[in-house]
Amino acid sequence: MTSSNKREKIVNTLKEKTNNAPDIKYKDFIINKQNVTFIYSMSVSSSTSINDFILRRLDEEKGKIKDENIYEYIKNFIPNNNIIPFDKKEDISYYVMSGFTVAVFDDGRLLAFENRASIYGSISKSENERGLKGPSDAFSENYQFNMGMIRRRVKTEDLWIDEKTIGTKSKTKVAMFYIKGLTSEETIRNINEKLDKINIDYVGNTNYILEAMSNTNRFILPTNLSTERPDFAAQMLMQGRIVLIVENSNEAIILPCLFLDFFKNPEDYYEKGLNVIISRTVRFVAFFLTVFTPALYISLMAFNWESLPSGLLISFSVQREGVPFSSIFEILVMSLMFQILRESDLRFPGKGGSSISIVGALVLGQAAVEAGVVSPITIIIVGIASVSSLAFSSIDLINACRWWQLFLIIMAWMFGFVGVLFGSLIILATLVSQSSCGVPYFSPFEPFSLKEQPNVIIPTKKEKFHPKNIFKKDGRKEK
Amino acid sequence: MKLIKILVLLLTLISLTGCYNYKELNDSAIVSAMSIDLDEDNPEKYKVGVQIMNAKKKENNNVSEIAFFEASGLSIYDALGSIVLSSPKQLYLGHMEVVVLGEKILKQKSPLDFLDFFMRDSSAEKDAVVVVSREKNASDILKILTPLETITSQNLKASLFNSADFSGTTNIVTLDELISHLMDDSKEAILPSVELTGKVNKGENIDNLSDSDPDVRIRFSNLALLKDDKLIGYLSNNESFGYNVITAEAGNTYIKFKCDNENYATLELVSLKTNEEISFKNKKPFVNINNETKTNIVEYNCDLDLIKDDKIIDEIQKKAEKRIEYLMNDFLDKAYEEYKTDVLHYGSTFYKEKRNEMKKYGYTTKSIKDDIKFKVTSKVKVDAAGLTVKSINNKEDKRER
Repeated sequence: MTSSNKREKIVNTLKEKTNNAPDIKYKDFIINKQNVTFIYSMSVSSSTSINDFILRRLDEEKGKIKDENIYEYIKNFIPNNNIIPFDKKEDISYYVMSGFTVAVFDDGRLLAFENRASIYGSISKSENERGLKGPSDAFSENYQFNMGMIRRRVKTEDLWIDEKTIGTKSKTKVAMFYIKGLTSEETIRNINEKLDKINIDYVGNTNYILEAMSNTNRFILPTNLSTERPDFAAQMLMQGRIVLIVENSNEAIILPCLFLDFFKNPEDYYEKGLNVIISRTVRFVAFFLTVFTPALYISLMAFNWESLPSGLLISFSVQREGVPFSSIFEILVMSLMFQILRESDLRFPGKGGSSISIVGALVLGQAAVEAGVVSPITIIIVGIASVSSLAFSSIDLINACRWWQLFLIIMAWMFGFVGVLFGSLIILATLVSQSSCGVPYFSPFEPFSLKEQPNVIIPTKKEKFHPKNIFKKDGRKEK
Repeated sequence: MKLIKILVLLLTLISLTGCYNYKELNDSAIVSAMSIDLDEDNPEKYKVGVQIMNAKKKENNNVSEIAFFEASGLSIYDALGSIVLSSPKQLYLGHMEVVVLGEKILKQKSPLDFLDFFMRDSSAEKDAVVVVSREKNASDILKILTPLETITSQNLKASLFNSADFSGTTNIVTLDELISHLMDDSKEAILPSVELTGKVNKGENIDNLSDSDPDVRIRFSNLALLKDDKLIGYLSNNESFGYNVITAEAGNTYIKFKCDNENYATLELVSLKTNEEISFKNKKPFVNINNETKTNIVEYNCDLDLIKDDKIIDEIQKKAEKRIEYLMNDFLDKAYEEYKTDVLHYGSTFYKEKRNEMKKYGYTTKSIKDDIKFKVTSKVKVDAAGLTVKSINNKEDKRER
């Protein structure tokens, strides 16, 4: 019986190492009193080929096999184009994660059959997060494919997956990915507890889970990243984060998340680090333009004329000549019109979208100025603010910026520069006080870490090639 | 419920436009320049004129029209209040660039009698440049539509800055500088002046703009001298330049001198440093002014060959030194001998540094200026000679050919 123990030992070690991953299956066969265990991963291998060519064949011919040496039989008579005999137990996980089926025999001998699933035929391109470089495959609505897409990128057995079923009626599967030893235990426990506590009827997409997990709704900015790019999810896993995949949802959630993450795009890592400095700086500038331009314009127009050069002041004043509305009203109306245009552009089916843009540009821009309804400078200001807001791929961030923009406009309207200053202090206070899954949201600025500062603006080689858990110093408890 | 209450309060606050200090830009008239004269009919009153930049939008294009309003009152604010009666907009003084003071008002009244408003009003610009209108009323200057720029005051300010930079015969004095000079014990100040050339009445016409050679021009004249708060006279060209050399403000200007019997050479000043040493010699106050100047040769119309004769540079330097010393002495003679003024404020400098000696020899800050002896030295260094080492007027070359 010692030889049988060998097989069981191998199987148990693997189970232990992968934390009994939900997508890895173990199938036992008893042929001629000899045991064989087939190990395969549901997410990366093709279940039809495993069913048809391995499991069914063995099932049908179990009784007929007289061969004493079952290893030779399986090696020679299972139809497969790529059969690899190997000895190292450590390689099992690599073969399994790569889409092989591994047969473990009683005497500890190992065989790998290739059953890689070709899922890429049904994978669509990422539409909402487009990048110039990098892979363009996107998560689909298929749960197993989504798991496979991450498995293919991170083949280590340390990639652990916890699976849960959430939703009393929908019974939706939620998989939680993390890399064992990299992600902090506290974060894992934290999120696990939260997931267990969720008591909802139906899970529509990832957002249901997020809303159910969070305790507060008062914070406007998203405290999580959602992405449809598996390469981004894999990148984030390597930084010690947790990735949640929800059945029937084409997005993955990344937790915890920092404010800074919205300024880092996945393709930053596919480019030369030095060139990324400019792209990131542009994103920071765009963020400030989005939030501050309308408010600063209003305070300049209504309160703080002395801070404008004379020539500009006259030009502003002449442009406003004959416009019947106050500048705050103009700004609010034009911003609203832009939001309506954006909304209708999104909803309008297919090819009609561009006609709306033309109507928007001509009617709301040029014609309104010529008719003297709005001043040209207002159009410029609203244009700057709106275009800069589109520099981010995160829809959540864009929508959050609208609130801040409006808040600062009202502050500027009431108190000018002083109001804008106080408004930005309030915004800063909310940013600094927030945390995402126990991690300070505004780090590495608060708590300040000098060592992390280079990573803010440039993807350093160290960060790129050997990412570490960026949340190692968990300083704060979550509210 | 609490949130709704707060929202309702906020909405009321906004919709009632109780907004603190909110004012629309086009409801205000941006004053770019102001003129202050004495009212000829009633000498107690001030006549104040304002030039407004955004009076009206011009048809067809986005250029504003400039308007000039004038009214008189017992104080500056009173006069401004009367202007509002005729102008549809409220006056905004935050972008005032030039204040033109009439020659007559400066001869009769102290600027401290009426300039208080500008220091007190929070929105008024303290950086406005002050000029004296020579021989004309201050309002005449503002009435001229200038040929160069669309805004009179900007033209005035720009050319003042240019001429201060280039010619060295004017100087920039802002409102707060003027007031602080006058509040000094010596009560003396120097102001730039402007004058009109040509037929004055035609200048107000819009045709003045369309002519390439307009009938009326505004031209910067020499520095005006104020003693005991009153205008006592003007400096000449040379004296103005001397003043700017002593105060080291003639940074980018030039000096010219004869290099042989008929032709002139011009040196461009690159940097200018002036040190003053004050002391008592034989119980008399003594000021030693040392000037150090770096120059480039920009024009040399005499015989010059730097390759053959490198001593010629020394000669040029000596000539330039002489010229600068002459200019400085010229100014000092005029200010300290003829007008008996202390525009360089040596009274207070002596008080700051040599108070004990001053007391011992019985001088006050006011009386010391009459006895000051000056010694002026200049050191000129020629740094560069431009692109050629020979002048085109080189006689030796011609002979050889």
